Amino acid sequence: MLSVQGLQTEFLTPRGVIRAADGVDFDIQEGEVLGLVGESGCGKSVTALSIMYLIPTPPGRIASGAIWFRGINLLAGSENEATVRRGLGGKPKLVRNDTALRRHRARMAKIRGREVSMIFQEPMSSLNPVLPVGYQIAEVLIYQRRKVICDRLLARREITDEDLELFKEAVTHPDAAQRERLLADFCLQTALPVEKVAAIIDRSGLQMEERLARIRRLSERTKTRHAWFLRLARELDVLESEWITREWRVLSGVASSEDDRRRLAAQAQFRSRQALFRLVMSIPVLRRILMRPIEEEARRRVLEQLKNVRISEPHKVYNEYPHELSGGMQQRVMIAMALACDPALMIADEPTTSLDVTTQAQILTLVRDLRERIHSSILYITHDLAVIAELCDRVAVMYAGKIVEEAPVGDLFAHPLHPYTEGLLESIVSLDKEVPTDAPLPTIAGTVPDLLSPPSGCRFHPRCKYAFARCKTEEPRLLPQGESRRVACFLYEEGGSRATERPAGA
Amino acid sequence: MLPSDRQAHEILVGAVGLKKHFPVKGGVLRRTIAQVRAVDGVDLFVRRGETLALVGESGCGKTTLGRLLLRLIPPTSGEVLFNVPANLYASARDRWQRTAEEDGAMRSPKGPQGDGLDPYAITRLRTRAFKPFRRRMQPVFQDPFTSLDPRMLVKDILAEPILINNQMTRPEAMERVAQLLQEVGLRPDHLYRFPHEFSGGQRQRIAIARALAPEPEFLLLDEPTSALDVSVQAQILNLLKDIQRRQGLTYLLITHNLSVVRHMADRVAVMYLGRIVEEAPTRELFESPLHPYTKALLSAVPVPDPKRRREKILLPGDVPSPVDPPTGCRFHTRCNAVMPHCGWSPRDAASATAYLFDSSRNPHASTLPALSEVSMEGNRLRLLFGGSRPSEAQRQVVADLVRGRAAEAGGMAFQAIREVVLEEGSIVLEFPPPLEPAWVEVSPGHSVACYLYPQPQA
Amino acid sequence: MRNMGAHVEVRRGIRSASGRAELWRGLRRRLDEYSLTLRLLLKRPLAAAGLLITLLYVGIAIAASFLPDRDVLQTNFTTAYPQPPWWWGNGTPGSWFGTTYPGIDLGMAIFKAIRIDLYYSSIVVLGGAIVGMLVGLVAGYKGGLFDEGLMRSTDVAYSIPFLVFAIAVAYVISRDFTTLNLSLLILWWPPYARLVRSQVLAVKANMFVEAARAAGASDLRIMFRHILPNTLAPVFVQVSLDLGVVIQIFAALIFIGFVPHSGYLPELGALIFYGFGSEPTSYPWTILFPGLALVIFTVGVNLLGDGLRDVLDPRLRR
Repeated sequence: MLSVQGLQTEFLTPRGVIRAADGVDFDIQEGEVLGLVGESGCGKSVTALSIMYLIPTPPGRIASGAIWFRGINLLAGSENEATVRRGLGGKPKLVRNDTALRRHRARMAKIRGREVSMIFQEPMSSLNPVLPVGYQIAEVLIYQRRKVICDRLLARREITDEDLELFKEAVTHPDAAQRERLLADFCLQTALPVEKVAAIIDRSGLQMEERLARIRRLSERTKTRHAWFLRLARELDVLESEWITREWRVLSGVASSEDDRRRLAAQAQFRSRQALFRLVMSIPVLRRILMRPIEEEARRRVLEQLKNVRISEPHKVYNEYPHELSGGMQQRVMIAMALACDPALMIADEPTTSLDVTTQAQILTLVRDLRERIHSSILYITHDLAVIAELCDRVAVMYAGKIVEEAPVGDLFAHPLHPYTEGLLESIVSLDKEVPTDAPLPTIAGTVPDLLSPPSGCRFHPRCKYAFARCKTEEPRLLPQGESRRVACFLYEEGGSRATERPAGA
Repeated sequence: MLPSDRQAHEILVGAVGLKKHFPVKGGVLRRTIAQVRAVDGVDLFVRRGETLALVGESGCGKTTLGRLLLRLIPPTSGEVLFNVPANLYASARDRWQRTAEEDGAMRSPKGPQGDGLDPYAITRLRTRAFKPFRRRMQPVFQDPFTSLDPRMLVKDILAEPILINNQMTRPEAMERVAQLLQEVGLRPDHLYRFPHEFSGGQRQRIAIARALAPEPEFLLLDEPTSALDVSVQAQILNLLKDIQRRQGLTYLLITHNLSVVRHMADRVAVMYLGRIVEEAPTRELFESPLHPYTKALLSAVPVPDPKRRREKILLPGDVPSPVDPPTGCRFHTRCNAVMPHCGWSPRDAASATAYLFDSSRNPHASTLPALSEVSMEGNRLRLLFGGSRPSEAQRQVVADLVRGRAAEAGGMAFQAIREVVLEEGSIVLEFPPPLEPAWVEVSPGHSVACYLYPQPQA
Repeated sequence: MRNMGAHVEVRRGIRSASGRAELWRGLRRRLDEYSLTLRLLLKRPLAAAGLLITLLYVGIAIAASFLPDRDVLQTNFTTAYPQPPWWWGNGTPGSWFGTTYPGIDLGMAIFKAIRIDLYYSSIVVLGGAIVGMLVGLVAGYKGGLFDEGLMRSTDVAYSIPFLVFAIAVAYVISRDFTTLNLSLLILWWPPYARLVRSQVLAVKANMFVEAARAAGASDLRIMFRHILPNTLAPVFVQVSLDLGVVIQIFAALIFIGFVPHSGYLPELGALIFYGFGSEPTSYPWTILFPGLALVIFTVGVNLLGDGLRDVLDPRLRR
């Protein structure tokens, strides 16, 4: 599904070139959760940002590599965007090709949000502080998921007596949870706004007849109008994604002749529709009238999403500003935002690191449940091995810009192969691990190397207790070990002391 | 020299009835509109030479409590005792509880009181008189990136507390600085560097060296490893343990990481919304936690072993606001073992009343007049019916509805309703007055504040 | 006994020597840091140009203090018409910048003028910065009523137009440079106080302040050792930007006829004023050179200030 191959991302700083990701290789299968572990500064966040194409240029640039995502290479056509040249006095300098960069960014923006979305460690930094959170998610939906919204609006119909029966049941059912469910069903059937229906139900001192009359009036008010516009907006969306996908395929060099032909046709159709759409949008009055149903529908879907991430009062949260929410709540809003577009891949960069254990447990349970419902793959980045153990299917361990080991989660914890993984597992302070009170905790000696001048050979050798002469001069490659694991260490290559060992999981 | 300087007493730091309320300012005139009850009545002691861990979620007031103990901020009420005999501390605590019951809004005394605690109570001292105590209690903060002055060289950072507190000449101080640096595992040439030239772990070592510089007896460790990487965290914890063993220091370890607690602490105190809810020796707390909050906290810690999945107790929602904490036991809104007498109040039941007593919605309530308003008055919930005055028969209907709801799942708040009375044309649901659970010692050294355990007879 | 005394003597000697070495090493480390700032500054061509211009003007000002005054203001009514410089066509040989009315040598006069302008504007800016820094430091650190009072008084100061205020004060008290300086100073410190106060509030939130308090440092020590050094960077930037502004204000005041004392005065504004008095269309150099001197200085300090702002940005230091 996603395959990162030989990804190199470098940053030019006044002190020199930092290669933050240096030949990163990993795959994620459909529906799989891959954990990416490593200490701070090992390049795990940079890898994530490279996949999202969010590396700031300058100072950073993706130097080489390929990121294959569902049959297209996300880095195709980005080779010439930024090049390094020797400037005055031999200092390397980053030269930007703005046209190429802009074009690639525009292409990427279509993938981002729609197919790949990201959750950051600091939810505050990725939410706009001056807009209500619900509005922000709705905006994403309006821009990325116009097709779904229009489809739903077009499918809306007149209210029937059966619907009203359902409504009556939703009002009078004795069980509170059942009432909720009936209300949700009713709104789904009739496409009426949940919050307005809920307001009619919860209003004290109303007779049933009065309630039914209000529902009828509400249905009258929210009837679908201007279907031509909805169809136009929908078609625009469909054409654009077809054109972009085919263009990606051409760029990635996997295009058939069909692709090449359809691309231009789709592009031409898109352009003509877009002209009409822009014309309509340029008249403020028309814009307001025509966009309103789309905005309301988006709002409805946002409220559903907020409920999905177990926010108990979605209406209240919808109108709140980011700073009014607690950390756990902000992170939930971020997850709702990431899920709003049903992405195929979700990248989570330390989403629970700044949260309390109790909140972390809530979020982890939420992610686990969502995983079963939405079938999207997850790249979960963290420094906490315990979180990996709880959540992931497979783990990739990163050290100083390189993947040093990759294995199914059970095997990794049972038999770590790379000395770094071994040290990392040993040095975890765990509730269940009984360490004698007076004995010191096992640690990995030394500190994470400075990526400006990484150690020669294997980058872990200065801290490794098994290091031998070859480790200092040669760099180990990430080689398969057994059926499902890979490790980059000379101990496991031919002639290494552990070469014959077969771990249980392999 | 103060008398406390000569003898070493059993309890090094003790808090009695400690409270800290921060005012919330608002409006055009910047008036105080509310109080954040960050720390709200804490009794806590640390024995000489032990490590006490203080755990809780963020926002529970543990950092504020630490700052209060070091007198970095003045308490709203309560006292901090330093280097005090155990019997004096116990009697001070009893006395404070008695007086607090009699006179709710008491402040901490200033100046000598002549009650035998004057040599120990550091909260009574003026700034100048407190100065000799300063060097005996030192903090290490969480974030090593803001806790070191970026414009000072390491040697100056370390020399400052020595030159201020210990009568030493500059060369003598520099000798001690070099020795300190060695103690925390750094090289002498690190002296002439600025903090930004170090990694997080090294900075935390410098921060520890600074805390050790004035030769303290008590170290406040406020999340010392939570900003660090896993492999560095273990190094720092080892260093702290090592220093404690060598110098006989006393630690108060504030953290939310229970794994660290298990490794470091002798005793643990669990804090929730400004109160201590459980206190026990470490092993006992981890093996048999009593308070439902402690149980939930322990179960929430992720296990670094994919084969073993612990059953998680998920707490619903977030920590309530400390501006207006829940009545009774503060944990009752999120507790999974909650009972009718845990402190339910009208606001817990208000949301369900819109359906329950509405004649047009609930078929069982069809004999009631139309419900027009629900209002809360202290521990009473008032139901107003549009126009008509409810009759005794209707009161009976409401009482039945309450009983019926109480029997259902999630009807705990309705179980707490003591009485349904007819009053001034409305029906009033009366809740019991809110009471906090008493602090009970269940086994030696293991105390808990929870209604699940037998309460002392009033 | 004697031996022991000598031993102690020797140890003390070693100690004081090592003490001096320690101070020296610390100082050198700090100088390294400053030279890094300088190197970063020189890497930016515009900032380097700004620094060069500023240093040139300071150099001229210092050199000009050694010139005797009377040579500058030597008037020569025999050639009352301004004479062009030698390279201006039919100019006077030996005169690089020509003369202005009435026969004053422009080159000399501009040299002297730079000294006067730089001197007085430095007093206003540095005085304002120091006063503002102290007030802002105390206000930000202590907070409360003093802080509230400061904020209100800066509001008042902001609402007074300084040109009008300076003229008014000088007309009421006396028309000399000291009064002019004082009146500008009164209006010049509040922006610094606000700047420093906001910085102090940000720095105060850092845990190292709390750590210093826990170590027993006094309020004064915390304010001056820990907080103040961390607030200085934006003050430096503001000072260099303000130098140009204040010189312009001086020139403007004098140009509109606010001459502190009778007679001829070597001051840039005054020189432009003399040029205007003598038909500038026929003798363009009479206003061109003093005007250029003013513009170049203002541009120079502005470039320097912008460069400093970039270089002192802590994100660049790592």
